[in-house]
Amino acid sequence: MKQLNAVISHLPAGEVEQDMRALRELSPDAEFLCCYTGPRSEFERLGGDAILLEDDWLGGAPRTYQSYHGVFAALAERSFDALYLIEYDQLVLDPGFEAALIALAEGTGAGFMGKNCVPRNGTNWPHYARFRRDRELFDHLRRISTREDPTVIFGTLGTGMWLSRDALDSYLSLEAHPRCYGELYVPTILHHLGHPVVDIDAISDLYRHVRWQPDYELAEIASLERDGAVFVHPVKSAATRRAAAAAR
Amino acid sequence: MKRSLRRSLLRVVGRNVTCELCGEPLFRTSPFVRRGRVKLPGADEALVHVDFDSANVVVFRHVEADRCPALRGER
Repeated sequence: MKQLNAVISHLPAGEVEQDMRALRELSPDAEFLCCYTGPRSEFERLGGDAILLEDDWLGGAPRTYQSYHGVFAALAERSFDALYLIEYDQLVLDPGFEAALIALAEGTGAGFMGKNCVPRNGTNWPHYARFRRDRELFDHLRRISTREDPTVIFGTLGTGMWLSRDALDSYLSLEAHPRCYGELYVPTILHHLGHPVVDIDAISDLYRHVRWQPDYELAEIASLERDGAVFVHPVKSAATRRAAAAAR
Repeated sequence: MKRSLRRSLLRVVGRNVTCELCGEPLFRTSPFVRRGRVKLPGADEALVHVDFDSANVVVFRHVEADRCPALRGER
Protein backbone atom coordinates (compact mmCIF):
# COMPACT_ATOMS: atom_id res chain seq x y z
CA MET A 1 0.00 0.00 0.00
CA LYS A 2 1.45 3.36 -1.02
CA GLN A 3 0.89 6.01 1.64
CA LEU A 4 1.23 9.74 1.12
CA ASN A 5 2.21 11.58 4.29
CA ALA A 6 0.96 15.17 4.14
CA VAL A 7 2.23 17.64 6.71
CA ILE A 8 0.17 20.78 7.32
CA SER A 9 2.30 23.76 8.32
CA HIS A 10 2.03 27.53 8.37
CA LEU A 11 5.50 28.20 9.79
CA PRO A 12 8.24 30.30 8.17
CA ALA A 13 9.95 28.52 5.25
CA GLY A 14 13.16 27.88 7.17
CA GLU A 15 11.33 26.01 9.91
CA VAL A 16 9.25 24.03 7.44
CA GLU A 17 12.40 22.95 5.60
CA GLN A 18 13.92 21.68 8.83
CA ASP A 19 10.76 19.83 9.87
CA MET A 20 10.44 18.17 6.47
CA ARG A 21 14.14 17.28 6.36
CA ALA A 22 13.86 15.60 9.76
CA LEU A 23 10.96 13.48 8.53
CA ARG A 24 12.71 12.51 5.30
CA GLU A 25 15.90 11.61 7.16
CA LEU A 26 13.99 9.51 9.66
CA SER A 27 12.11 7.57 7.01
CA PRO A 28 13.79 7.94 3.60
CA ASP A 29 11.47 5.49 1.85
CA ALA A 30 8.30 7.31 2.92
CA GLU A 31 6.75 10.03 0.76
CA PHE A 32 6.27 13.35 2.56
CA LEU A 33 4.51 16.38 1.18
CA CYS A 34 4.13 19.77 2.83
CA CYS A 35 0.66 21.31 2.64
CA TYR A 36 1.52 24.91 3.28
CA THR A 37 -1.06 27.28 4.76
CA GLY A 38 1.20 30.26 5.36
CA PRO A 39 1.85 33.27 3.08
CA ARG A 40 2.73 32.76 -0.60
CA SER A 41 5.99 34.67 -0.14
CA GLU A 42 7.17 32.02 2.34
CA PHE A 43 5.86 29.17 0.17
CA GLU A 44 7.96 30.39 -2.74
CA ARG A 45 11.07 29.93 -0.62
CA LEU A 46 10.25 26.27 0.04
CA GLY A 47 12.18 23.54 -1.74
CA GLY A 48 11.11 19.91 -2.01
CA ASP A 49 7.61 18.62 -2.45
CA ALA A 50 5.07 21.20 -1.25
CA ILE A 51 1.69 22.59 -2.22
CA LEU A 52 0.19 25.92 -1.25
CA LEU A 53 -3.29 26.05 0.29
CA GLU A 54 -4.52 29.59 -0.07
CA ASP A 55 -8.21 29.06 0.59
CA ASP A 56 -7.81 29.65 4.32
CA TRP A 57 -10.23 26.80 5.12
CA LEU A 58 -7.70 25.46 7.59
CA GLY A 59 -6.59 28.85 8.79
CA GLY A 60 -9.62 29.88 10.82
CA ALA A 61 -9.60 30.42 14.54
CA PRO A 62 -10.22 27.38 16.75
CA ARG A 63 -13.88 26.48 17.18
CA THR A 64 -14.94 28.19 13.98
CA TYR A 65 -15.43 26.33 10.72
CA GLN A 66 -12.05 24.92 9.77
CA SER A 67 -12.39 22.32 7.03
CA TYR A 68 -10.24 19.89 5.06
CA HIS A 69 -12.04 20.37 1.73
CA GLY A 70 -9.16 22.41 0.29
CA VAL A 71 -6.37 20.06 1.31
CA PHE A 72 -8.24 16.97 0.13
CA ALA A 73 -9.07 18.57 -3.22
CA ALA A 74 -5.46 19.69 -3.67
CA LEU A 75 -4.24 16.11 -3.17
CA ALA A 76 -6.81 14.48 -5.43
CA GLU A 77 -4.54 14.24 -8.47
CA ARG A 78 -1.73 12.56 -6.57
CA SER A 79 -1.20 8.82 -6.78
CA PHE A 80 -1.52 6.98 -3.45
CA ASP A 81 -3.53 4.26 -1.74
CA ALA A 82 -3.72 5.98 1.63
CA LEU A 83 -3.37 9.50 2.92
CA TYR A 84 -1.87 10.29 6.31
CA LEU A 85 -2.45 13.86 7.37
CA ILE A 86 -0.49 15.34 10.25
CA GLU A 87 0.15 18.80 11.60
CA TYR A 88 3.68 20.18 11.88
CA ASP A 89 3.72 19.69 15.65
CA GLN A 90 3.22 15.92 15.48
CA LEU A 91 6.63 14.26 15.76
CA VAL A 92 7.27 10.94 14.08
CA LEU A 93 9.80 8.99 16.14
CA ASP A 94 9.75 5.57 14.52
CA PRO A 95 10.71 4.98 10.86
CA GLY A 96 8.28 2.08 10.84
CA PHE A 97 5.28 4.34 11.35
CA GLU A 98 3.82 3.68 7.88
CA ALA A 99 3.90 -0.09 8.31
CA ALA A 100 2.28 0.25 11.74
CA LEU A 101 -0.58 2.36 10.39
CA ILE A 102 -1.11 0.17 7.35
CA ALA A 103 -1.18 -2.95 9.51
CA LEU A 104 -3.91 -1.39 11.65
CA ALA A 105 -5.87 -0.33 8.59
CA GLU A 106 -5.61 -3.73 6.95
CA GLY A 107 -6.48 -5.50 10.18
CA THR A 108 -9.63 -3.45 10.67
CA GLY A 109 -10.64 -2.69 7.09
CA ALA A 110 -10.60 0.99 8.05
CA GLY A 111 -11.54 3.72 5.64
CA PHE A 112 -10.63 6.29 8.25
CA MET A 113 -8.56 6.10 11.44
CA GLY A 114 -7.94 8.78 14.01
CA LYS A 115 -7.13 9.68 17.59
CA ASN A 116 -10.13 9.15 19.91
CA CYS A 117 -12.26 8.70 16.82
CA VAL A 118 -15.60 7.66 18.29
CA PRO A 119 -19.24 8.76 18.14
CA ARG A 120 -19.65 11.97 20.13
CA ASN A 121 -23.45 12.06 20.48
CA GLY A 122 -24.40 12.61 24.11
CA THR A 123 -20.98 13.96 25.03
CA ASN A 124 -19.78 17.34 26.21
CA TRP A 125 -17.32 17.67 23.31
CA PRO A 126 -17.61 21.37 22.47
CA HIS A 127 -17.93 20.75 18.73
CA TYR A 128 -20.75 18.26 19.23
CA ALA A 129 -22.48 20.79 21.47
CA ARG A 130 -22.05 23.45 18.78
CA PHE A 131 -23.54 21.37 15.97
CA ARG A 132 -26.02 19.06 17.72
CA ARG A 133 -28.98 21.09 16.46
CA ASP A 134 -27.46 22.27 13.19
CA ARG A 135 -30.23 21.75 10.64
CA GLU A 136 -27.97 22.18 7.60
CA LEU A 137 -25.60 19.46 8.81
CA PHE A 138 -28.34 16.97 9.70
CA ASP A 139 -30.25 17.57 6.45
CA HIS A 140 -27.00 16.85 4.62
CA LEU A 141 -26.40 13.66 6.61
CA ARG A 142 -29.96 12.45 5.95
CA ARG A 143 -29.44 12.98 2.22
CA ILE A 144 -26.14 11.13 1.90
CA SER A 145 -26.13 8.57 4.73
CA THR A 146 -25.97 4.85 3.98
CA ARG A 147 -26.37 4.10 7.70
CA GLU A 148 -29.45 3.15 9.70
CA ASP A 149 -29.02 6.19 11.97
CA PRO A 150 -28.14 9.35 10.04
CA THR A 151 -27.71 11.39 13.22
CA VAL A 152 -24.49 9.74 14.44
CA ILE A 153 -21.75 12.33 14.89
CA PHE A 154 -18.11 11.32 15.14
CA GLY A 155 -15.17 13.34 16.35
CA THR A 156 -11.42 12.96 16.23
CA LEU A 157 -8.21 14.91 16.77
CA GLY A 158 -7.23 17.02 13.77
CA THR A 159 -3.72 15.61 13.51
CA GLY A 160 -2.98 12.02 12.61
CA MET A 161 -5.95 11.38 10.35
CA TRP A 162 -5.52 8.34 8.08
CA LEU A 163 -7.79 7.87 5.05
CA SER A 164 -7.96 5.16 2.44
CA ARG A 165 -8.02 6.31 -1.16
CA ASP A 166 -11.60 5.07 -1.48
CA ALA A 167 -12.64 7.15 1.50
CA LEU A 168 -10.94 10.25 0.13
CA ASP A 169 -12.57 9.76 -3.27
CA SER A 170 -15.98 9.38 -1.60
CA TYR A 171 -15.46 12.61 0.29
CA LEU A 172 -14.44 14.39 -2.89
CA SER A 173 -17.44 13.00 -4.77
CA LEU A 174 -19.78 15.15 -2.68
CA GLU A 175 -20.79 18.25 -4.57
CA ALA A 176 -21.45 20.42 -1.55
CA HIS A 177 -20.73 20.50 2.13
CA PRO A 178 -22.51 22.26 4.98
CA ARG A 179 -20.55 24.71 7.07
CA CYS A 180 -19.02 22.55 9.77
CA TYR A 181 -15.82 21.76 11.64
CA GLY A 182 -13.24 19.37 10.20
CA GLU A 183 -12.54 17.29 13.30
CA LEU A 184 -16.25 16.51 13.43
CA TYR A 185 -17.11 16.53 9.75
CA VAL A 186 -14.44 14.28 8.21
CA PRO A 187 -15.00 11.14 10.31
CA THR A 188 -18.75 11.75 10.44
CA ILE A 189 -19.17 12.08 6.70
CA LEU A 190 -16.97 9.07 5.98
CA HIS A 191 -18.99 6.97 8.42
CA HIS A 192 -22.22 7.98 6.69
CA LEU A 193 -20.70 7.31 3.28
CA GLY A 194 -20.24 3.71 4.44
CA HIS A 195 -16.55 3.61 5.32
CA PRO A 196 -15.44 1.85 8.52
CA VAL A 197 -14.23 4.52 10.96
CA VAL A 198 -11.70 3.26 13.49
CA ASP A 199 -10.50 4.63 16.82
CA ILE A 200 -6.76 3.94 16.92
CA ASP A 201 -6.75 4.16 20.72
CA ALA A 202 -9.27 1.37 21.08
CA ILE A 203 -7.09 -1.11 19.24
CA SER A 204 -3.47 -0.07 19.75
CA ASP A 205 -0.95 2.04 21.65
CA LEU A 206 0.19 3.82 18.51
CA TYR A 207 -1.34 7.13 19.61
CA ARG A 208 -0.72 6.77 23.35
CA HIS A 209 1.47 9.90 23.28
CA VAL A 210 -0.67 11.88 20.88
CA ARG A 211 -2.80 14.31 22.82
CA TRP A 212 -4.46 17.67 22.35
CA GLN A 213 -2.39 19.46 24.98
CA PRO A 214 -0.08 20.24 26.79
CA ASP A 215 3.15 20.44 24.79
CA TYR A 216 5.79 17.76 25.24
CA GLU A 217 9.22 18.75 26.56
CA LEU A 218 12.49 17.44 25.14
CA ALA A 219 13.30 15.18 28.09
CA GLU A 220 9.86 13.52 27.83
CA ILE A 221 10.30 12.99 24.11
CA ALA A 222 13.72 11.39 24.56
CA SER A 223 12.34 9.07 27.21
CA LEU A 224 9.31 8.13 25.11
CA GLU A 225 11.51 7.47 22.09
CA ARG A 226 13.68 5.11 24.15
CA ASP A 227 10.50 3.32 25.22
CA GLY A 228 9.43 2.81 21.62
CA ALA A 229 6.87 5.58 21.10
CA VAL A 230 5.97 5.98 17.44
CA PHE A 231 4.42 9.46 17.57
CA VAL A 232 4.37 12.41 19.94
CA HIS A 233 2.01 15.40 19.76
CA PRO A 234 2.04 18.32 20.37
CA VAL A 235 5.56 19.71 20.10
CA LYS A 236 5.01 23.33 19.11
CA SER A 237 8.49 24.54 20.05
CA ALA A 238 10.74 24.56 16.97
CA ALA A 239 13.78 24.35 19.24
CA THR A 240 12.44 21.20 20.85
CA ARG A 241 11.68 19.62 17.47
CA ARG A 242 15.22 20.44 16.27
CA ALA A 243 16.79 19.05 19.42
CA ALA A 244 14.69 15.87 19.26
CA ALA A 245 15.75 15.29 15.65
CA ALA A 246 19.42 16.00 16.44
CA ALA A 247 19.39 13.55 19.33
CA ARG A 248 18.26 10.72 17.09
CA MET B 1 -15.68 32.81 37.24
CA LYS B 2 -12.01 32.15 36.56
CA ARG B 3 -11.18 28.48 36.07
CA SER B 4 -8.54 28.45 38.82
CA LEU B 5 -10.97 29.98 41.32
CA ARG B 6 -13.67 27.53 40.29
CA ARG B 7 -11.27 24.60 40.76
CA SER B 8 -10.38 25.79 44.24
CA LEU B 9 -14.06 26.15 45.13
CA LEU B 10 -14.93 22.73 43.77
CA ARG B 11 -12.10 21.14 45.76
CA VAL B 12 -14.02 22.23 48.86
CA VAL B 13 -17.69 21.99 47.95
CA GLY B 14 -17.57 19.58 44.99
CA ARG B 15 -17.92 15.81 44.79
CA ASN B 16 -16.21 13.42 42.39
CA VAL B 17 -18.16 12.02 39.47
CA THR B 18 -16.73 8.70 38.29
CA CYS B 19 -16.78 6.75 35.06
CA GLU B 20 -19.58 4.18 35.16
CA LEU B 21 -17.38 1.74 33.22
CA CYS B 22 -13.98 1.91 34.95
CA GLY B 23 -14.78 3.74 38.19
CA GLU B 24 -12.05 6.35 37.80
CA PRO B 25 -12.84 9.98 38.71
CA LEU B 26 -13.91 12.08 35.73
CA PHE B 27 -14.45 15.52 37.23
CA ARG B 28 -15.45 17.26 40.43
CA THR B 29 -18.69 19.17 40.50
CA SER B 30 -21.49 20.68 42.52
CA PRO B 31 -24.61 20.66 40.32
CA PHE B 32 -27.29 23.32 40.44
CA VAL B 33 -30.29 24.39 38.39
CA ARG B 34 -30.31 27.70 36.58
CA ARG B 35 -32.85 28.97 34.04
CA GLY B 36 -34.33 25.50 33.72
CA ARG B 37 -31.02 23.80 33.02
CA VAL B 38 -28.84 21.64 35.21
CA LYS B 39 -25.37 23.16 35.38
CA LEU B 40 -22.31 21.04 36.16
CA PRO B 41 -19.41 23.37 36.87
CA GLY B 42 -16.18 21.41 36.43
CA ALA B 43 -17.61 18.92 33.93
CA ASP B 44 -15.73 20.72 31.18
CA GLU B 45 -12.47 19.51 32.74
CA ALA B 46 -13.06 16.13 31.07
CA LEU B 47 -14.46 14.75 27.83
CA VAL B 48 -17.44 12.66 28.97
CA HIS B 49 -20.52 10.88 27.71
CA VAL B 50 -23.75 11.28 29.68
CA ASP B 51 -26.86 9.11 29.89
CA PHE B 52 -29.81 8.47 32.18
CA ASP B 53 -29.38 5.33 34.28
CA SER B 54 -32.80 5.64 35.91
CA ALA B 55 -35.58 8.21 36.02
CA ASN B 56 -33.55 10.59 38.17
CA VAL B 57 -29.94 9.46 37.92
CA VAL B 58 -27.51 10.47 35.21
CA VAL B 59 -24.28 8.57 34.71
CA PHE B 60 -21.09 9.52 32.95
CA ARG B 61 -18.30 7.65 31.25
CA HIS B 62 -15.05 8.32 29.46
CA VAL B 63 -15.12 9.04 25.74
CA GLU B 64 -11.42 8.45 25.10
CA ALA B 65 -10.29 4.84 25.09
CA ASP B 66 -6.75 5.78 26.09
CA ARG B 67 -8.12 7.13 29.38
CA CYS B 68 -10.44 4.22 30.18
CA PRO B 69 -9.29 0.61 30.66
CA ALA B 70 -12.86 -0.59 30.24
CA LEU B 71 -13.17 0.98 26.81
CA ARG B 72 -9.98 -0.82 25.82
CA GLY B 73 -11.42 -4.10 27.05
CA GLU B 74 -8.89 -4.35 29.87
CA ARG B 75 -11.36 -4.31 32.76
